[in-house]
Amino acid sequence: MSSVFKKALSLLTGVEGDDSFIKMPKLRPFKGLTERELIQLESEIGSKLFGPIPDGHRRQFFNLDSKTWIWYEESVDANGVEKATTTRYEVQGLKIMKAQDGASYSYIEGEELRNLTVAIQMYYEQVMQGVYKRDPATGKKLS
Amino acid sequence: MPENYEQSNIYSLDDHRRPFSDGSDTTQFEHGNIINFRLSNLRPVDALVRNEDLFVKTPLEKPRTLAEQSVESIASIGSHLALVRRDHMDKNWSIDEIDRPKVSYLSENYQEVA
Repeated sequence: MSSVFKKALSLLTGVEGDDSFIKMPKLRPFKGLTERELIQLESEIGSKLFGPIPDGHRRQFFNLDSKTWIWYEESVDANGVEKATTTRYEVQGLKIMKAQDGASYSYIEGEELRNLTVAIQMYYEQVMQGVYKRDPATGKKLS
Repeated sequence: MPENYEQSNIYSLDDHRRPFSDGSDTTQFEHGNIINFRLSNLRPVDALVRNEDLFVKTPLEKPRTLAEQSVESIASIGSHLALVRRDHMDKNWSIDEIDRPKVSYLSENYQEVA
């Protein structure tokens, strides 16, 4: 605590040097999290599912809502020019539509679909355990 | 057995002479015509129900392809995660209760009194 604050406190309370009663625990409870903050936590796990992130790159992978998954990749090239790509995977019936930067649309299949499925299953297992502390198989809270 | 049992079951033409609601008499039709008349008076919905009963069977469940199973899995996980997330927000659980991973943005919410 700064000396100025200590001095001001002792002037106000009349107690010199004893500031223990206003000390708060270091691990102060956090506020409840918003949906965006929870998604950010999930994305911390999601970004690591596809291997190491190269220097100068930033990656996010997360579940946006019940039908949408987002992959965001940001990098800086040798000339210092930033490049960012957002890929949206959207469940549409029995297909997955892939939309890149809102420009190109296609339905994914084959190996790409298999890879995405595996990534999402890993995401689910790790997010359920690491963020929500729940058993991925049963959905129940882990003790 | 009553004596007149056989008599009571004797086919009587008179039984079929009751007029239809429009006043016409069945005897003015040949047998085939009566049937045609009755079928033609079925309401469309009756015919539909009858046809479904007779001809529409529950289709056998088509086996899912591997790709379709993958998509179903993705859809199921997305729905479940959305529910879990909503559950956390509704209960206003704090980050301390969910064993936070070390992430940089937490510093925005974490204000030490020092």
